[in-house]
Amino acid sequence: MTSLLRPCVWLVLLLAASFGMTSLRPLFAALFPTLERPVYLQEGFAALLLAHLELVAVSGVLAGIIGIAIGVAVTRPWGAAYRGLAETLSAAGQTFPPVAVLAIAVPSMGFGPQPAVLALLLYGLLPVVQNTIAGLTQVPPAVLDAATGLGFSPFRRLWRVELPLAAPLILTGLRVSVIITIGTAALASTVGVTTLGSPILLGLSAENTAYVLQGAVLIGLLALAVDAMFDAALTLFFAGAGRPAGGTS
Amino acid sequence: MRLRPPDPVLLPLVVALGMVPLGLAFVTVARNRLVTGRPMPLWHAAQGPEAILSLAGLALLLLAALKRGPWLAILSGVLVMGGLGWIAGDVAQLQAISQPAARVSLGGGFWLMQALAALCLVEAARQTGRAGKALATLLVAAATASLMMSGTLDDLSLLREYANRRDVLGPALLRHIEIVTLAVAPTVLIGVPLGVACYRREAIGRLVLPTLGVVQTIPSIALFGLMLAPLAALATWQPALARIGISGVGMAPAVLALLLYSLLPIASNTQAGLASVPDSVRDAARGIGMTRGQIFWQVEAQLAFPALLAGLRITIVQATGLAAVAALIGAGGLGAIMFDGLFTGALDLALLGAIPVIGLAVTADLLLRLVTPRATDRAPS
Amino acid sequence: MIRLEQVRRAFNGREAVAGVDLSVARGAFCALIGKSGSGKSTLLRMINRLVEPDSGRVLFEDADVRSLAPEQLRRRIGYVIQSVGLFPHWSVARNIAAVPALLQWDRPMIAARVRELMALFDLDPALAKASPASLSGGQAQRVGVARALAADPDLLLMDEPFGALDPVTRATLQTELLRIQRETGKTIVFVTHDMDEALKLATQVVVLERGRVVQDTTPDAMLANPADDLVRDLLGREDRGLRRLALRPVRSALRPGEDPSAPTIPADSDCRAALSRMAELAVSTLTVTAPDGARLGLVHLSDLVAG
Repeated sequence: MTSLLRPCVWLVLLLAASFGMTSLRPLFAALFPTLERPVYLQEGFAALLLAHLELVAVSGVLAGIIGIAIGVAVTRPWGAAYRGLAETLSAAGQTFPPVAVLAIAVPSMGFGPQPAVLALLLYGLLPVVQNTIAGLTQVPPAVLDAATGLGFSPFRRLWRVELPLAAPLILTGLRVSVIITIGTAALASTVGVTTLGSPILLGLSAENTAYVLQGAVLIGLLALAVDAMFDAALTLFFAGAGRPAGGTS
Repeated sequence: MRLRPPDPVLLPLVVALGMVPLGLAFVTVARNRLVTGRPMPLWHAAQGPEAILSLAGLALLLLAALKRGPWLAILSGVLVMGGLGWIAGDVAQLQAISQPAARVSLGGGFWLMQALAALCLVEAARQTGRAGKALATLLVAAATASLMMSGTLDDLSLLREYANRRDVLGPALLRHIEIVTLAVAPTVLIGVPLGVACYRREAIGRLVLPTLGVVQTIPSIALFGLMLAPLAALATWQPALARIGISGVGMAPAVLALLLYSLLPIASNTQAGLASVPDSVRDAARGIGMTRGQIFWQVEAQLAFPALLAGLRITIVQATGLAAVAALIGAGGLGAIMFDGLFTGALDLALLGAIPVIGLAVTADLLLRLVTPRATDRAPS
Repeated sequence: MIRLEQVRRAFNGREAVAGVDLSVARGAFCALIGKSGSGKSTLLRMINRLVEPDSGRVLFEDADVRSLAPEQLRRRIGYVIQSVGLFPHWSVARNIAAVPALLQWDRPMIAARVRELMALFDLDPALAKASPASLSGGQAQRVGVARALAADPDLLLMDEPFGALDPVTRATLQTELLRIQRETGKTIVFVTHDMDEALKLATQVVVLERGRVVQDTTPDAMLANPADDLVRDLLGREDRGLRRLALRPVRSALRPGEDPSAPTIPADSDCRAALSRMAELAVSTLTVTAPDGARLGLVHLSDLVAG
């Protein structure tokens, strides 16, 4: 049960910070005596958190579904022709910095949340596709052979044997994807989407360090809470499959 | 005679390529730099020899997909990419004659068609192996260079922004490289010994690697934000520090944050590389009488080196992207141009910053892959 | 050559070696045999100080090994392990040259030694530049043994060197090792859990159980008088007699005489092969022949059984 402790601690801290930040006004006033408005009040922090989560959830869920589907498809005999392209693209695409992808997506698709979600989704697909392919291809051939020999249908073999064995790696890919998305979503504030990055950007342009600190703490806590949840899920279900060395943005 | 079925990958890509112009604007034309442009479809834009060139390219690409000719696909794919660029450039030139202030920007249709043509190239190059990869890269570079040199693209909004910012772009690029170098060089000096320590003493590894993992998890914009206040306070408290450049904004927090991010891939890859040395090899080395130093330098370090280089590659690619974000806290570099464009709605300016960032990351990745020995062809001497 | 005096060694409170006395004479082929966990590998690794005893003494050429620097000691003793442990980033030739290089021999001397060893182990000279990853299991272990012999050590320690090989390759390498040992007169201490291997190769068989020596004698004496049930089990209760016959060359049962009707058997066969051939052909007399075909004499069933 100790594995559940860490995500719970981060989650409690996150919720406490987003609902209680405004009441910390005296603290920020003491820390930054020169600031007239030491607490960001344009939107409530809880609302910002919700907007941020919505952006992450939409692109994360879609990236998960589409990414796993692509990974499964290119490892079936009928989709094998696309496997090379999928592998090359998912590996090469990840050398593109996510912030640059965001900066390119917006001019070619217009301002606002939709292009941002699309950019987040496209980028988020890459680790999921890569890890799904890796997870499915590392299933020992002997196991597949045995399943077929026992009379499993292709679908049953996929559902009962391949996906469960590939699950830790797929989940790890999803974790990398979601953590990157949390960071990149914050940057989407630069193209006019309201997220937890908004206080930071306003703070930077208005030289209000307190705003920057408030936004940064919340984004950091969100990322740590979500990462700890993935970690707990991996430990609980698969007895720990290592943490990824992937990047964030 | 049995007919071979068409290429299952190229054919759908080519069909999609042909359908894009029906749905998406090829370019947008605006009266000036700041207003939103009107969309212009491909069939309005395409005139003259370049239209025939692009159409011929598309036809040949279709033929390549049907007949399974990857080499033809590479040639015709480049033809399509170049032809589309030429069409866009020509539209801009025509507009420039009638309305000098007008801006022609590349539209979603242009980008999607280029992306699909590029996918055709990637797939065809994959099928032909190393030679195809080299040819495709060479042809794309040659086509881009000739379009740029001939001045065909000069009236596109992107190139006009380039002309306006020419004198800023070079220094920004250098600044970007400077930030990455200042962060990565000390990271190697700290991270490699740290990785060795994590490998030698499991207790250190259990403490250090998860801690660095937490740092990696915190998104860059948040980490930059978190360093802002303490560093600013530090500079106020000790003005001497401020004089050597330590303050909440600028290079110092950017380099420091990048350094913290870079420690994990370097340290953990060093540790993993050392841990991947088989026990039997280590036992044999001890058994034949190598000293601890000889075992480390002649066996362990050499076997761990490819993993270390892979860590360095991940680090540099990652730092290149993070350095762009660092522009938000005033570190300068290419990110400054990119965010300038995003904040002011000058989207071609955003591209002008973003494209070199990607170029830098991809180049660094490519160069480090070239020098990294692969496990299979580790050259024995 | 080697003497162990009352050596003990415990790991996490469990005694792996519990007071062993052992001596191995120069030129002997000593097999340490026992089940896994019997302490045989630990005992072997104490000789070149890969494991230090908690108490007792290990003497190598009458000097306490603790008085010698471990690296210097190991360079004088060849070491071969089951998983081979070739350095994957070095070529075959450089692997074989490892110890001479540590001893700073000059380059032409090293090159000559590598060529000599590759010839001795029947390795294609073209393999010199190959990477260890490209070798078959048998080739890799040949290179492993060659590496151990490179600096011409008087003593060779082998920890189940052929345990991971297929039976045919194993038999070939066993025969080769025996030939090389006879040609060079090396002293060999060899860990195995395969009694057939021990009986085939060794001049001295040491059976270990729970860190103690159960029996330490020649193969023939062990087959004649197993010390206890464990040794009997290891020897195989049913075919002990056959195994004993296998240790005797057919020449030892030769009697003069001539019998034109008796089938032939080569003189370098062992008595078990002779018995098998008699059973196969349903005869009780065989004619023993030299490699050139000359008839040396006869061997009778009664002589085989009489021992």
